[in-house]
Amino acid sequence: MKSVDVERFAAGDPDAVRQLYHMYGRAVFTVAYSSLRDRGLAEEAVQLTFLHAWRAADRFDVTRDLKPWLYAIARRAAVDVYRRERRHGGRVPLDSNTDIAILPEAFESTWQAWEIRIALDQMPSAQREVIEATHFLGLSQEETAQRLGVALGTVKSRSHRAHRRLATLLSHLQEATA
Amino acid sequence: MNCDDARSAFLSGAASQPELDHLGSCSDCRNEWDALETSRQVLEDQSFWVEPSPTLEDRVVAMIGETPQPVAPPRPRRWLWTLGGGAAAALGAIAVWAGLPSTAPDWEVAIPGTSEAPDASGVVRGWNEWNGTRVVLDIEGLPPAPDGSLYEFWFSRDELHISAGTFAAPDSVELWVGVSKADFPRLWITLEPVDEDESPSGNNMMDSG
Ligand SMILES: [Zn+2]
Repeated sequence: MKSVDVERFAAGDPDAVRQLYHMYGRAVFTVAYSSLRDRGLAEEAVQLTFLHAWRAADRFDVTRDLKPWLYAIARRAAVDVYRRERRHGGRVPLDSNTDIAILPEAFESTWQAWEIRIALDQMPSAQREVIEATHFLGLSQEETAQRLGVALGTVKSRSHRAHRRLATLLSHLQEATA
Repeated sequence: MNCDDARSAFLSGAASQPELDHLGSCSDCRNEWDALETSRQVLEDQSFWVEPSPTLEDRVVAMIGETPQPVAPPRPRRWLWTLGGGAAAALGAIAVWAGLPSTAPDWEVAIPGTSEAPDASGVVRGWNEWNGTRVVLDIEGLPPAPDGSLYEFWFSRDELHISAGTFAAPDSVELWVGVSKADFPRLWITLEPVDEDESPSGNNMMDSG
């Protein structure tokens, strides 16, 4: 996988901004949307994330892993948007009795959603399609084969490889947090 | 049985009985049970699959392109100024140019343009801290300061004026001031010639009133 040129990103080079967006934009959106549950607010949080990351990029230590750094910024941006909406009685769908300091449960599993989304985005698209068909569309493997126009055996092997990749990723996550 | 095979079968939602038996009896797999279960919930959650608008990438690139690079302010330190020649110089303000504060602001006020800048409008957000206030100005419709001049942001009470710092390109500006809005409720912006005079000029461009 190509790494992001953080120095060019810090300089505001549009190509470097696009490169970072291609690698992590979808995952940043996932973190924002799965906690805010509103497309407009989530997209605003994505913009804030990239703006904050850009402003902080010149202080980023390039020997470190970009992923947890960007995740922390993404989550904070989502929390900021959430709290602002709470204060102004905006669009976030919430129990009005909840204290503003308490974040809803949807914020809890964003780290896993972030990791899984990045893993999916780095998979060959043929494997990703099978995962989407299974979990998003709720199709059986036979239905997936029909939909994608490939043999059932192909769906089975792609599904196996894709899920195995996710399972391996999860054991690494577990080790990292253990 | 291979642990990864059993786990991937579980994630796919198509685990056989021997695979489920493995997950229940293998101590390594039992340790991972919570992560597996959460991951499967993530995959089953429809919100996980929602796509952002195709235009979002261009909007992100444009926003960064249009935001001025944070630069060190030309006059980083300004001291308290009182028209009556007051003391309390230790309340000096230092402009800081860092990332935005992370939490929701403690207060937010509109700062409209004066007759000098009728097209300008803006919002000031403030974070109260024990030793002062961090402020973020989001300004629209104010042109960049002409050569040889800078905008200056003031916290005032009556004739007591505290500078929160200067900036050339009005957009999103972050500043720090060693006083609170409770004590200095009037927020305003002047256009200042770059000179030794540290009092506010009469060029009042924006004013919270
Ligand atoms: Zn096992």
